[in-house]
Amino acid sequence: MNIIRNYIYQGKNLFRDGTFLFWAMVYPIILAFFFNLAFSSMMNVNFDDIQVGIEENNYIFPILEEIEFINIHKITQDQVDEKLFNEEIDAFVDSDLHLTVKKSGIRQTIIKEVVEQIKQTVKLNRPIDGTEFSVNYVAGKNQESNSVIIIFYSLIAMVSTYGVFAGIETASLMQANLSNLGLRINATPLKKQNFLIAGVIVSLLLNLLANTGLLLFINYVLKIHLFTNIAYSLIFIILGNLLGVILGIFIGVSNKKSPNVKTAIAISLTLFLSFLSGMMGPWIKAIIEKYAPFLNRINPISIITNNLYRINLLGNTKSLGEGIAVLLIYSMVLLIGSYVFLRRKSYDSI
Amino acid sequence: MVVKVKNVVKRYEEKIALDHFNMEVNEGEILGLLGPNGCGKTTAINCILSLLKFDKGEIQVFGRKMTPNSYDIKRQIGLVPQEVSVFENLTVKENIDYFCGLYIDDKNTRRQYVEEAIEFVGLKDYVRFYPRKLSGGLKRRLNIACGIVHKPKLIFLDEPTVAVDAQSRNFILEGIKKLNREGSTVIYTTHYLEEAEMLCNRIIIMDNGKDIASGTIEELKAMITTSEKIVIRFVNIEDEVINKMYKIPHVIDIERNGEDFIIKFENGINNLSNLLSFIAEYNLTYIKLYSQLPTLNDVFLELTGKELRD
Amino acid sequence: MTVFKYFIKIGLKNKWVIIMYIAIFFVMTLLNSTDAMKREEAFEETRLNIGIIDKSNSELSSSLKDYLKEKNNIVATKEDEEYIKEQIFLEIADAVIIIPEDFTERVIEKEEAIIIYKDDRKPHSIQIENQINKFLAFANITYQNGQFALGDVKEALKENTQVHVLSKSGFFENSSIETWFRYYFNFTGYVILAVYIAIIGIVMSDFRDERIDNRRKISSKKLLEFNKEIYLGQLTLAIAVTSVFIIASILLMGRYIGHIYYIKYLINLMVFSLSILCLTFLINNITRNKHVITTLSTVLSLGSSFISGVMVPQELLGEKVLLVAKFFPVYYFVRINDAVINSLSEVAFELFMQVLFAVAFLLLGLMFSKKAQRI
Repeated sequence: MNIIRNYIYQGKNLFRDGTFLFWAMVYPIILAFFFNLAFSSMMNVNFDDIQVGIEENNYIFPILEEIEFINIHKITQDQVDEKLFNEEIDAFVDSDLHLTVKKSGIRQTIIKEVVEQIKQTVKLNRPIDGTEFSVNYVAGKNQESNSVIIIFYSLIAMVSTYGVFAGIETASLMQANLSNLGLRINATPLKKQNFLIAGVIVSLLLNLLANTGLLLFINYVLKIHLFTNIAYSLIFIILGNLLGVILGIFIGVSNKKSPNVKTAIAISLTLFLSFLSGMMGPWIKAIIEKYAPFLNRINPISIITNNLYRINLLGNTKSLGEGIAVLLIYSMVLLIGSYVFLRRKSYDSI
Repeated sequence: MVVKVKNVVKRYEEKIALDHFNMEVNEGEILGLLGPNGCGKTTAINCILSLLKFDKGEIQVFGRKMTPNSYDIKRQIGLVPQEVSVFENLTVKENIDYFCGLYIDDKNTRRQYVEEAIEFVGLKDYVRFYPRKLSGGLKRRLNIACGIVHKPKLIFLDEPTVAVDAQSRNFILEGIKKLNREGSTVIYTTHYLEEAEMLCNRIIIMDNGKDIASGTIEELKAMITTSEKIVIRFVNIEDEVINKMYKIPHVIDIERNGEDFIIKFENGINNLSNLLSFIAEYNLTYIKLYSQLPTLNDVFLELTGKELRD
Repeated sequence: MTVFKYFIKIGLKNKWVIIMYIAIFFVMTLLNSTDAMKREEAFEETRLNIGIIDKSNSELSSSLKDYLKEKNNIVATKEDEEYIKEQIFLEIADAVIIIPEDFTERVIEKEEAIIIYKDDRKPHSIQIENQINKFLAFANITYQNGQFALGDVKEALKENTQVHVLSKSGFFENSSIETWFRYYFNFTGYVILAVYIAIIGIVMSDFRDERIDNRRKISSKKLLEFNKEIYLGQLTLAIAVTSVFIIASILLMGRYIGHIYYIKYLINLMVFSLSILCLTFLINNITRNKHVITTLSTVLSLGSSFISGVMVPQELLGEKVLLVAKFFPVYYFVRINDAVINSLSEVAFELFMQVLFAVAFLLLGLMFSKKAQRI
């Protein structure tokens, strides 16, 4: 009986904190908005034309001229260094169809591909009409996707752990040495478990609500369809929520630092883990994979991201066991750890 | 004996908070714990409630040793802590209801108790208010309501009238008396001596973690030598006459407070008439004269050398 | 200077949080810039791990396989969809292709001839598709009289374009070092945004409890004086944080400083820090709510960094995005870091914009502070 009352009242207490609620809901949406802005435009990149320096008598001069996105600069050999240095041209093509560049960026790679293909085609020495290269012989078996979606999975994974903040709040309410209410509650016959469980569930509800808002936003406003298999995806999102809240409680009860400090720990930890899981660019994840692959398997945010990817894009719903198990183990360990700190006890000082 | 504290020692790193502290509380009394700020009153309460660890000594509540898991004992205790401790996002009524629900399972009883508590602290017009919208005094009333709603047998009130307006304060004090009449034992800490004098059956005076004296008000006042103080302001008096005042029977000491003379007498019946004779003898005129019985402040002053008011 | 002194005191009280923040973000910065540098140093196509299942066993398919083998690593695989997906998921294979029995016919008909499973998490995986398409296109070009001239195809594909990367000492930069510094300082910009707001927010919230603030309001200390000292305190913290990153860059890549235009980065960073400091000042005068400050710290930093070219280079971002980005100082900061210049005068505009932001934030901050004097 007590438990349900606890839910209701703790729920009221949490949900009525207007600012907290607002930011919990709105903040992930704002992030998603920015992500979308940055990354979706990346997919439809309109390059500025690529600037290519070439000598007038080079035999591929006319060919390059034809290509829409290439802009030819007629230059001489001695101008090459200077024009490369001040980036008037991205690359210089010499008579053997070798390139000189200042750095190896996307534009240089593209030019290399173009020039190389021209060279090879010429060597092939057959008449071509240009249509041969527009055929696509490859059928992708994956769902329609692009890298943007991967990054959104990462964002969702990070945001699912944001129950950590509500968890920290609940923790402070429970400890006599952390808040006035904590003191009073410790003098009552209320069992700590009851308060704790109610706190966890209420925080979970809040964060799940925020997550739902985010998912709806991504799906209907940004019109990015992230999920082909909602049910399994939800499993991981919920697990992420659970882990987040329990982590918050653990951070909250395990030490006596100020709430600011605890919030700072929560933010930097989640940000760091998300970073490692590739939220700011898939390249980081590749490095980790190369030098310390086990990190990806134990990083909870990586686990959620990877599994979301696997479920929705690879369409694979078997073998989810490992991911689920690891997340649950983390949650259990942190929960037990929290309980150890919470065991009804007297304090050395209040 | 409802509460028994024997030789309790509590140390923090830098100082001793409780120094072989002793306290006994009998059923049905209002016990005052009186002492200046920082003397250990709240620490004592927290130790009794098993919220704080202590290093040595023994504490029993309702005849049994109190631990953090003594739920059944806690059920009979109500605490009104020094700081206002309520949920910021629950209304007055919701707060009281929540805390009541931690003790009373039956819905109907609870509803009745909550109504009575609201009535008792006079917050009927404020039931829907959130704590942040209440003035200091009203917040304190809410704080009290949350602590006593379940009609506990033993109530701890830790400085409940600090920063409270006069009207609320009277209200609170009357309320506590009523609770006591209805059967609750009350332990009341304060550094306001007037309150202690008005409210408590017995008082324990505390300083630096020690219990210095205990007893009823009369017993305490009897502990000191000063039994009467007469304050007088002369129009004109010469120094030699002042010196002669010391010869009036039973005079212990004479203090000057600006223009006023404060003459302290030890036990004697005719102190005032002796003084009047003296005045007549030396042809003095006065414009102010009154007699004061010693206050708890005097008790404290004499026992510790310090004022209770700091 | 009491206000200043106490500000610093409270800052020091929180020193572990500050250190933790700096440490974590520093690691991120380092990883990011080192990775970017390595990506640029190598101008080869990355060799991917691919699995091939050949059900046609034709001359064409063998030839294709040879070609792919030259450019990639082959891993063993099975024709089982679940198995393949697992391999890809576990990154054992970056892509797996299945060559059907009627492969040759399909190629001739210019239809989809190969099934590919690829790892979308890797932008490189599209490489395989390109390689296959090119090979088959070439093959089809040589198709005559019912036959492919696969030998010719092979020969043709041997042709390659060598790339010579300019690297001269002296005034010409070593490109990948340049990249390291560019990414390092760009990311530092993000860090500064995140960390200033968060750390200074923490200290300010300790410092400016509402009740304490009311005391200050009725004290005789002039508002401007007070703000000046607060600002000075924030400035001190900011300098401490920024110095860490500057010093680190010198320690790590000190020997290359002569190769690049280091002053550009330094001045740019200082100007940027100034404008973000003023932004922090503004934020702290608008709200004291720690939730809001926490959120703002992440949203503003992450959001504006994303759209301004910190994580994704500006050249890859669309027009509209950059338009929005121009309303944040990060945009101009990144532009300067990315630009190739001889002297700072060439980026005077961008520097000016950052200063403009700084002044605007500062004035707004003072304005809000004044408003808050009377509530």
